[in-house]
Amino acid sequence: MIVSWQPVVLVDIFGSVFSLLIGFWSIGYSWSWYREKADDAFRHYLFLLTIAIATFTISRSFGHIVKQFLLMSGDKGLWQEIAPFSGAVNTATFIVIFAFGVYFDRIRQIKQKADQDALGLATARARADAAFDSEERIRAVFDGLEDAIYLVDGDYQILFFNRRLQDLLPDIGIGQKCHQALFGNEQPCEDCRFHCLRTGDHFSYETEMELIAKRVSLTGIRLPWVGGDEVNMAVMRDISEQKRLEAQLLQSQKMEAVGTLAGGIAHDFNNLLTAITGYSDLMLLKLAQESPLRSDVSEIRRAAGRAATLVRQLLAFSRKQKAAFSNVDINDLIRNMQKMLGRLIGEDISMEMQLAVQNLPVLADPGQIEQVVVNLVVNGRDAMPAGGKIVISTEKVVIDESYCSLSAKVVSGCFVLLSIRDEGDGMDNELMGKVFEPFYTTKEVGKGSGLGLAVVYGIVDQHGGCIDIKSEVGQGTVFNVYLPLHDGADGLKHKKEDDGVAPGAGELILLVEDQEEVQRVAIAMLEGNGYQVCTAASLAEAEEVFAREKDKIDLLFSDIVLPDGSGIVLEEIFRASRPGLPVLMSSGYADEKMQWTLIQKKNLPFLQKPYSLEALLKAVQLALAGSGG
Amino acid sequence: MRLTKQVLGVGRLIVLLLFFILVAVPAHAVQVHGGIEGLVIHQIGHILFAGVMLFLLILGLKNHWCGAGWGRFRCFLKLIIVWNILTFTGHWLRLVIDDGKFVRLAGKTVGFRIESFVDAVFYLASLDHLILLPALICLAVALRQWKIATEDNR
Repeated sequence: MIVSWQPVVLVDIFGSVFSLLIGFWSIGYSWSWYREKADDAFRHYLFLLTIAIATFTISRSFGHIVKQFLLMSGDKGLWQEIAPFSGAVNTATFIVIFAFGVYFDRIRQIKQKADQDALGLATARARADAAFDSEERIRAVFDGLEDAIYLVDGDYQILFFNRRLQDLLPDIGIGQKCHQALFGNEQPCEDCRFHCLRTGDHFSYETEMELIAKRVSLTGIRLPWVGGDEVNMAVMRDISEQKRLEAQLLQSQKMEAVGTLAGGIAHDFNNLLTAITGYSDLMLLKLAQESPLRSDVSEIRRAAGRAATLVRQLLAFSRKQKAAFSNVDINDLIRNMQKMLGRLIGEDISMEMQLAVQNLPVLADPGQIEQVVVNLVVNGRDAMPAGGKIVISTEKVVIDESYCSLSAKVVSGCFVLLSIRDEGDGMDNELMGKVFEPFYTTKEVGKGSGLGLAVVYGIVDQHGGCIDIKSEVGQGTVFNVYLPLHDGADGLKHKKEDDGVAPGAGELILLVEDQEEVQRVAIAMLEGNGYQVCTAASLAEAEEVFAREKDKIDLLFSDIVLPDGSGIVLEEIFRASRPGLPVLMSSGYADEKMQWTLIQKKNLPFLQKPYSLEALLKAVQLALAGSGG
Repeated sequence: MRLTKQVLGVGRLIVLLLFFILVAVPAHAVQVHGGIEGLVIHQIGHILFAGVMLFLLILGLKNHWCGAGWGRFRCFLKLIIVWNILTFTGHWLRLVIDDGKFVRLAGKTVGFRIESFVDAVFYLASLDHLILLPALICLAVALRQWKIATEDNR
């Protein structure tokens, strides 16, 4: 059977052409696949294998195409010359393919192993990165804390510490003993109980860090640690500022308590002094001018006057003295006092004024502020017996919240700072803590009452301000008085009192006074000067008298603090029944019970105890004349 | 395990060396390589080519090579083995086929006389591109799938 050779030729030609194309195609894919990861050994290998196979394909296909071309063109001889070369190339590629193929699996295994190793490395690196990130996060948390934290092992060696501790102790390092690095102790600290803690136990104590001059609270905790070990963690908090504020609060509370005590005593004293003063005045009226007793009674009267002054100072310290607030420019006030202050300090001491250029208005009682300035200047003078300089300065300052914590009455905002600086011996911390206490003095006996700075403290506090001292031994002292800056509204105005006292003309005065001795002396003084007096010792009793003598009473003269109510309530009741009834209020002190603010608001005439005969008669006269109320 | 692999590796080299020593004609610097030598070497090449492809095929089956491209690659291996066998057979048969079996017209072969099974096998072997072309297509497709899989993974 003869079959056509044409299919063989056609398959050979087309097969070679397509093989040639696919060979190049394969090389292209292999190359691009290999290039995507050129460091991949397996890809490199497969690329070379593909190159070998494709080379064979191209070589063979090219040879067969040439063969068919030469045979068809009748040049069989040339083909017979080329054929060995074509066949040899094909054979060589077979050998190369074999050589590559033999190591195919080996290289594949190496590749797998390398991939596994790479994966293992990547996993390990990821774990390490995660651990690092975790540690970084934990460290960030610890470093963000305000408290200093450190970990120590059983031998007190530091294993870890946060940034706060490093801020406090820049030289601290891992491996140092905590008692040495933090406290400078060769042995573990006495209060430390790390050595006897069990897991979960803790202890706390406060101690001084002398290395950095701070007071700290320290809490120690035993914690489980990595690898089944245990570790001690210490949390250390700087409480220096807290302790300082606590001490200041304690001092402030102590001053408040002393003030309350002084105010109470002053109240009783005023009642007694009213009786002493009043009876002295009555005796002086009754005694003949040539009487030898007259000088004795005058001494009693003067002593009572000095006692009244002391009581007023006590009241000033205890913030229970009545104050008449008005809009005062501190600079003007001080300028007006300059001449008087110059005389006060004497020739050995110079005085320098450094007053702010702008006005510094405060809502204050000018008299009391003058007393503050005088007391502080006198204090400065007394601190410089050999002479020196006193500097008075004013400026506008802003006080922040932290400073306000020093005083419950001070709120943050704009303040007038009045500073009085001397060049005296200065004070140590202990002395500075006591200077505002009443009756505390460093002066010789009889040279100072010990009330000067206490009065300053009381007045400044009553004005919603505060005072601090800056002083060092041998470096002089600065008293800084802070008073709230006022926005300019006018304060309360005072009435001017008229001079001259005239006796009564039989006017009936309802005297409401619960203190018997005061009542008696008031009756004596009023009746001895032309007035009629009916008395009551309480609000209820006064109401009964008023109901009975309603139309006859010309004046209500009442103590403000009564056992069953207030003189102001009495005034309201009586005036509801008899509008325009003249009234006169009196009291021994001016605390909340006395309701000084309400008295000012209602513009009621007021007579401060202890009062003299002259003061009483003048007040009664003014009240009857209707100049108040 | 490592030792076994090393032994196997050395073993392959020894087999190769023995093969060339025993089968190949001793070579000298001035030796002439004529006659049937070229065909023998070429046939050896086919054997090596087919052998290594078979080797890879067995390894693939044994180690369960799978995933994109490996199926086509196995197909390539099978086809290229068949092609090697076919062409190997064709080369040997050409030696025994009488030139008279080729029908020539004006010096060109236009037909072939199939008078025996050997003649038929030779004729079929001459159509080897019918096997080679699909084998190469499988290889190209395998390479393409590997490339695509790499891109997808990325």
